[in-house]
Amino acid sequence: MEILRVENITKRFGRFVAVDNVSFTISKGETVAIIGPNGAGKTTLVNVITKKLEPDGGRVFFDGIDITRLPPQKISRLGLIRTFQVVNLFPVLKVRENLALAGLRAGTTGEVESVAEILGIKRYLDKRLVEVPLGVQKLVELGISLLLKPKMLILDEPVAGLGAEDRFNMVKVLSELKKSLNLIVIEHDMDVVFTLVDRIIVMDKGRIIADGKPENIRENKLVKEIYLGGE
Amino acid sequence: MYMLRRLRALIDGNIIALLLLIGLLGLISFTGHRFYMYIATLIMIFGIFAMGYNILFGYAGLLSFGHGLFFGVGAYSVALFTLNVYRDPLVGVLFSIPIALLTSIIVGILTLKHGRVYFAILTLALSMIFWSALVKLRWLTGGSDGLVGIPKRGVHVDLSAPTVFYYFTLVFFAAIMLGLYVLNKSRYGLLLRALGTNEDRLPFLGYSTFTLRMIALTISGVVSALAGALYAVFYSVVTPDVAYWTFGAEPLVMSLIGGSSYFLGPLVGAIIFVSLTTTVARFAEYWMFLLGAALIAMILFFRGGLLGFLESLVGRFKLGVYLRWRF
Repeated sequence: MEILRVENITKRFGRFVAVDNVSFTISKGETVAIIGPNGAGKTTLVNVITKKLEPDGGRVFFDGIDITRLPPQKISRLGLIRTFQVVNLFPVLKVRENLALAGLRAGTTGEVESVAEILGIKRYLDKRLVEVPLGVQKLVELGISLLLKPKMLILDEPVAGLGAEDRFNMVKVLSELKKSLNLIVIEHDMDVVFTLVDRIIVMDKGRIIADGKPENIRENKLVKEIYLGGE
Repeated sequence: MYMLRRLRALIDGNIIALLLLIGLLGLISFTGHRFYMYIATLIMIFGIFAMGYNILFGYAGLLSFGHGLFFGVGAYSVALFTLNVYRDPLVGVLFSIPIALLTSIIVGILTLKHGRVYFAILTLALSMIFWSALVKLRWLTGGSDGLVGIPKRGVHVDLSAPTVFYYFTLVFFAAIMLGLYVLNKSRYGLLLRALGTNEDRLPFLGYSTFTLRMIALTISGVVSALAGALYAVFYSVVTPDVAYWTFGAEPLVMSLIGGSSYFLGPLVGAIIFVSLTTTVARFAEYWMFLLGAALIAMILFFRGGLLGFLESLVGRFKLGVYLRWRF
């Protein structure tokens, strides 16, 4: 049973076609990675799906509902939640207040402490976001997403910029989450991708060039040439 | 136990400072000194105006050049109501609330869907339209002469004695300040601060920024209008000057002087501004020049206003944390 269907999505910036007639479907329970070189159109695609950007063509269905014309807050309320490549939260508010913003919206304020405990960030709760390390900020962003009770979570480069320990923690948390959540991960770190996902969509120059199981993608000649460096 | 925890969560340095100030303002009436009571009344009125303004400016991050409109709506509501409908200042002041609410919603619908720069310009334009209407609709507003004879003595209350009017203002002041304090501590306070911090992120948490901005504008508009209503009753006269854009920019100056990032910043700014305008302005011919120079210095070197400056001084003792709400 499908949870997300993307039909012929196109996004242009002037003459540049960032996303070119992209279509795919994701089933409930699948964990999917979208990979590709820089400028492939991965983040633009996610921005269009979550309505940070308006599409120039195509439609998006989430959980059976056409969300193409919905504003981002309505898409969020339907349970399609995303994080951002660069941490995009409320730096002058405390970590607790950042999490409470999600809790207040989803009626999960009582779960703030337990989510912080699970993510290992409880000791940072009363610090301002700007005062905590990047790894913790990324976990706060994830915590906010969890408190929003998502049906699907799109993570844009969750381990980018993290040190080895934070990266290890993040992968551990995501491995647990994938058991109960539909995850889409945009990621450059191939170890993380091959550890986490059931399926990989490869993009290049705004198009999907491969779509399949990790073992098949690893052997795909075109992907090797373009993205994996012909290893 | 739960109530006790809630109460404890509400108490911080701001409320202690606020209660001390309210107490001090109460004591001033015992001096019986007319001039002190006059200044204190103006401080309360402009303190309400500045604190109301800062809901929009300091919390929601929206710069308004049109708050003279809300102040003017409050002032003219009480004037027109008490002179033409029901001769009572208390009912008149309360009557200004629904009028300000309605005005805020209309202004919000016209302005809030646009970017911050357009919001600033649109509020300025609406304020100037309102000011022009006050000048031109002579049959209703008295034109540039304004409306005179706004009664202090009414059916329900008699505020003609200075001390009585002083207490009347103090009650409104205390109620509004405590209300704003509770708002600051509430979920809406947190949402409004988030709005001012990173407005673009909130829709992805499921919040409508338009709704949050509307809440901020409505609270700000009503509080500013209440300041205008009290001002009109205080002077018993109201002229279109109160709706002029330079008058509407005064709470911005007060917020910057005190520190718009601090809950009590605008109130501190109002105390300084009113004290200066009623004392220094009498002696210094070019006091506006001095005010301008002080503002430039403030913005260039002490962007956190007076409270920010004090915090940087006492920061090493961690005292500032009791005063600030945002940083």
